Amino acid sequence: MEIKQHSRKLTKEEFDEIASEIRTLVGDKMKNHEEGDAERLLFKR
Amino acid sequence: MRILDTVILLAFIDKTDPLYAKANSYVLELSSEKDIFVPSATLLEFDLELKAHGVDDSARSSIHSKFGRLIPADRILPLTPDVLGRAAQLSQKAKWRNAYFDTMIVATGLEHGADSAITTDHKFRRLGLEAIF
Repeated sequence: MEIKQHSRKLTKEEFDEIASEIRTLVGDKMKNHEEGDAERLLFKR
Repeated sequence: MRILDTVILLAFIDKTDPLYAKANSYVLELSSEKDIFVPSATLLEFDLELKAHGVDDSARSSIHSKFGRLIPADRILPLTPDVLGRAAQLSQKAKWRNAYFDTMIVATGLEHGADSAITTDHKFRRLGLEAIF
């Protein structure tokens, strides 16, 4: 079994670029986030 | 050894979050500092948060792929039967609302020898881990 490893240390520029891409993907959907949202989804009947 | 709570990942993705700057630093440290680890339960709760807020499957897939580049695989702590058992024990102490993931994250830290959690949630202390931010 192969385990993916991403052990190469990123440069600050690479980190910032990936972080920016993540934030773009999320957009503004997490606005109005409240603690416990995950559990409410998990346990909703 | 420190573990990362979900609140840090949530602040990391939102530049308007008051915790953003420090959260960004902590995520950056994951690839350089050797004593910060991410419980699998943190990643699971983070994914559910995204799902709860309508982030679609395609976007979630891309987001996790990119986090895979930010978080070295050897810094992710597994969710094992021992961790789940300890989390169930901790649930007897965690009487606050929405404590399910708190118990799993703290249990992961305790089972792997952590002494603190990077979080703003001071309730972690009641379960046996110092809360630092």
